[in-house]
Amino acid sequence: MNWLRTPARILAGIVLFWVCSTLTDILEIWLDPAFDGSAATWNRVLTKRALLSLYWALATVIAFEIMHGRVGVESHAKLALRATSLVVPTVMGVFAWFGVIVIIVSHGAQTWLEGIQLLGWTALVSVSLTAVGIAVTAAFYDYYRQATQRERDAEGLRLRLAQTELTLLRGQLESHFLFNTLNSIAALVRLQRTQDAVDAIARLGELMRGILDVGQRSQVSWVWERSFTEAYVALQLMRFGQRLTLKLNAQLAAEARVPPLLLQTLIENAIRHGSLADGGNCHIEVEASHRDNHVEIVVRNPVSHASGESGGVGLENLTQRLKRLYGNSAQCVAGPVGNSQFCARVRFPYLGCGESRA
Amino acid sequence: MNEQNFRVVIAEDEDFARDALANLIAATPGWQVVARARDGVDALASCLKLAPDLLVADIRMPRLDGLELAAELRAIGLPTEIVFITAHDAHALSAFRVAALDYLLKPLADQALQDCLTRVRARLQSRGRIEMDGRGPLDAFLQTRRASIRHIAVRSPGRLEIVPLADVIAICAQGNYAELITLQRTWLHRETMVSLAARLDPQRFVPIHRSTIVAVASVRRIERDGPIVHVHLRNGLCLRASPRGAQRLERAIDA
Repeated sequence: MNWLRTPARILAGIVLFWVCSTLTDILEIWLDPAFDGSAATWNRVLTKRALLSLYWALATVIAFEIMHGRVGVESHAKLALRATSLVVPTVMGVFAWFGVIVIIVSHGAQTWLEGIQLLGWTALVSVSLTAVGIAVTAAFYDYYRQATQRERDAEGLRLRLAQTELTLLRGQLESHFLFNTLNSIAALVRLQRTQDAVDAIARLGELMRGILDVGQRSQVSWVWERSFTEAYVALQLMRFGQRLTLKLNAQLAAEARVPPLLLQTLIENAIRHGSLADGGNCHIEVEASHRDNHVEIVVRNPVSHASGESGGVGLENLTQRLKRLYGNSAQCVAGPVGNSQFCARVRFPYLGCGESRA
Repeated sequence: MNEQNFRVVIAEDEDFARDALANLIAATPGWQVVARARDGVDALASCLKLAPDLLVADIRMPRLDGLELAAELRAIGLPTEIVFITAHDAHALSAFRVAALDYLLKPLADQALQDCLTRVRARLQSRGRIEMDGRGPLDAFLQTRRASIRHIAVRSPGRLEIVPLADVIAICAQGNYAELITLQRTWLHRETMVSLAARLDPQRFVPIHRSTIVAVASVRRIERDGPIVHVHLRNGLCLRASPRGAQRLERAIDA
């Protein structure tokens, strides 16, 4: 419930409060037996009290809503509600009985019974009803707050689960690549191409060190990302031979901050969903630049006609990561350009050495 | 003892892996590698030409993946044994285990390959005595994986072309052939409607008539005129549906 968070809404809330107060006042006067000088009837008094209870209920909600999150009511909400529902009736009850005594003493002529009856009509009944109204409202309000909080907690949990799933998914893609590479190395050994096998093992070692190194870091330097990607590309070039070529044109400072495995994900996507999927050759062009205080990375490759989906899970995953990291100031746009090219363009704020986002 | 060599086709898109595997199999007594294919279409062409005893196919391949290749071979009715190779595909792996299929994991271990070849040999040798009933574990497995088939190989005399199922709007019987209709063109494909309906994903392709299958995603309008039901498709085509076919289509649309 966040409908009293902006100044305009607070103003609207205050206006509503005063409109209700005035209406209640008018109705109260109109319903009062003293207004037309008639005798007090249960009917009339109770209607008036119901109206006032309603008014106090509304006032309770508005007060709590305005206080909420401003003066520490958030954490002490329960305490405040309990206190209100105990203190208000107690104080009002004490005042009422005090009133009884005062009236009895000052109207010495009246009997005890008459005195109690007189107040019973007015102060006692009304105060009790008001107190009950406030207490009930406070209880309902408390329950509502807790329910929405639970819902928000559940929402947060769902979000965290989704993030875990994404991480798992990334792990799975990596392991697919890992097993394929191990198989290629075994094949190289079987074909007695020892030097190639040793090179490939060294590259794989670099990649694994990189993955361990990156851990939970949300950003790495461009030079880190670039050397990680080079090891990855070297292994893919080994697997696909002449069919895969890659050109990297980078004009980006070595210390620029980038999300880890961003370039690798883009290239992996081009390899998996590009023209290699049609059994053809694939030339991937990568451009990285620093423009208008943003980093822009563009990956182009010949589009695949057979591979059904245009973007893979990798790109979706990447978009999510960028959104978490940079909010709306990052973009990831991918799609076919013309008939034969596929282009993925990623843009996010440039941060130099030392600056980083949590 | 039967001294005849069993003939193998290998389908693997990675050059080293393909050569190493071929060498391993060729070095095993009783086996002979007759073709090395670098993608699914290549492998299908080789199988059509050579009718091998065994196909060893990578799951992830260009043009036609391992599962699609297996589905094509079954649709043609080739009795070739198929062994899949996969690097790490959790879904496929659990499905393999459930279906009790032979599969190989990357990186390939010599012993696993030898054990697998021994099992396949036993099956091939017993096959001479016991007639195949055509409903082996592989067919059951392919039935459960119909949703992941995304391409179909159209075989016309002397030609083999790949049509993405996402492009197919409808399939109509034309004598012994099936006519695959896409937005751009139509393809004549040599396969019966029953066989096609059995291997397409029933969630996406619904037979609305003895001679017609429509892609659920292409249906724009269903019109009823008494007992006659007309199905209008996104390319303007209007096809007639049987009452039961119309019911099936409506269920698939609601699902």
